[in-house]
Amino acid sequence: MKAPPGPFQPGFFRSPIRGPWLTGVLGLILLVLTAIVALTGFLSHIAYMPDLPGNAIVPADKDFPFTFDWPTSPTYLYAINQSLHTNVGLMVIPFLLAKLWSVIPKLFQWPPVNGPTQAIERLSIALLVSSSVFQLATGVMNAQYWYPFKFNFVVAHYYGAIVFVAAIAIHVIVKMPIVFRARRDREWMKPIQADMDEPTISRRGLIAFAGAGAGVLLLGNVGQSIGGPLRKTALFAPRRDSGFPVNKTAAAAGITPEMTGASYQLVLRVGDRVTAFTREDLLALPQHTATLPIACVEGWTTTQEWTGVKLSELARRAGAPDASQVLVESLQEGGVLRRASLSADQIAAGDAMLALKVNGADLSPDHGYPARVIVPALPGVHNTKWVGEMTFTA
Amino acid sequence: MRVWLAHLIFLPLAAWALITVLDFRAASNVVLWLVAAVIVHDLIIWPLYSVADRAGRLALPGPRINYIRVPAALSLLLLVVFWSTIRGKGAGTYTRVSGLEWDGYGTRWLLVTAALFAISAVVYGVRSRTGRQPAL
Repeated sequence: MKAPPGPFQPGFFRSPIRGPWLTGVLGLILLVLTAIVALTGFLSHIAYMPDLPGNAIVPADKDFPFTFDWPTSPTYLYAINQSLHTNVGLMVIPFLLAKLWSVIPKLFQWPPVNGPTQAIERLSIALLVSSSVFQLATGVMNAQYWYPFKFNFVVAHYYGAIVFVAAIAIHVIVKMPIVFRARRDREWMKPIQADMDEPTISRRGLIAFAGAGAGVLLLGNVGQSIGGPLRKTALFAPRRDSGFPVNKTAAAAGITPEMTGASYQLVLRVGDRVTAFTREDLLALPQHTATLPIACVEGWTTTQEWTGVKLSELARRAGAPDASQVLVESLQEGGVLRRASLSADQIAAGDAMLALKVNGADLSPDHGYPARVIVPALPGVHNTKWVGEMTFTA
Repeated sequence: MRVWLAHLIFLPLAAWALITVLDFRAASNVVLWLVAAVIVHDLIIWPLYSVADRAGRLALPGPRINYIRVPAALSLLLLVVFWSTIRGKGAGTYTRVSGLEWDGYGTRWLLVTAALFAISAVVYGVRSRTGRQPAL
């Protein structure tokens, strides 16, 4: 069968810099970057502690049983994790574009397959390209609050990540020998192919070009992960305009002044035992102050000084001094993430508290008035705001 | 052998993830997006930038093209990756959840684009003056 015209014809691709050395170097860079992004992604999944009641977004019977108690120290652990996940994820994009450019002639090889080995390899390459672009596109859209898709982002991004990891594992096993061979044969010393066009950029120049792309994307976003005065340098990040961003406003959560007014009571439960506190009661308990970050899964961070009642104190007053877990529920009447469970370690952590004040003033309605959870190194949305009930398990 | 074992270990894992995600809401939409991801890159993004680059090389032969190519590509990369913020696609959701207005991203992108070309022009000027070959 004759090759179709255009890119299927030999001699169609004219750049002399394509070859195993360029593709191999871009591949190694991508391997390191995507390993960081995938690892931090799966760690974030574990940080949500899906085995505690109400925490799982992907049901346990459709998930791997790989979890561990997420630590509460250092306090910025989750902030670092998500800063790496989102910012390194952005840096992947230009290197992936360069890598795909370097191998695009293979897409148009003729005949399309030379036997079963190549057929299955092309299938796994299709999965790799598809899942890479899918993960980057959905991640970028989620961090920018754009939801043009109908599926649940968390669910699709999680299973998409598993497809990606499987596909890249195959790719590394199949292609790594070519990378080693290019190194052994000193491919970079060889002249570029002479029968093609004059190059307009060197191989190193192209890698630097992709690196510059990674640099501008990083500079456009990383300020919101660092916070402080550098927040304003994040020219294209959504969370650059406020030093103390709000993830969800009281209005968006359906919290009304009546719910948080004079009739407000915090209800603590242990089995059948019920204890209730007004906000004045809570302010009369021993107060603790700590400077802790809130770190969003989307990669932005803010560090503030919180004052409130230690969770261990509340556990003791509720009648469960050695509580193994607590389910914290917001006054919100609906919506995902209106409740979250905390582990024994998180209740016992020295700085873990039900905050009543921030930076010396009462919490604002948008920051969770009358009371909100703050636990070191906890994913942002698990620091439940407008806390109405806490059910301890002794 | 290595190739087949790699596929036999990891393709079932990928298939498990794809079949499992079909149990969730709007699963057909996930499949559509996965297929579209390949098509968008291989049959839209790559051909478009290749044609644009070819046109640029015809107009400006030799390595001088890089003084246009690099800032233009960086500007386009910012535009595509931050499309949602620059075009205000997520503005409704953002204002509802954060209580803030979403403004100024599009005009900032224009200024950043101007700055990228200005940096390129300075590098070109310095390299031409010092007699260093204006190439990458």
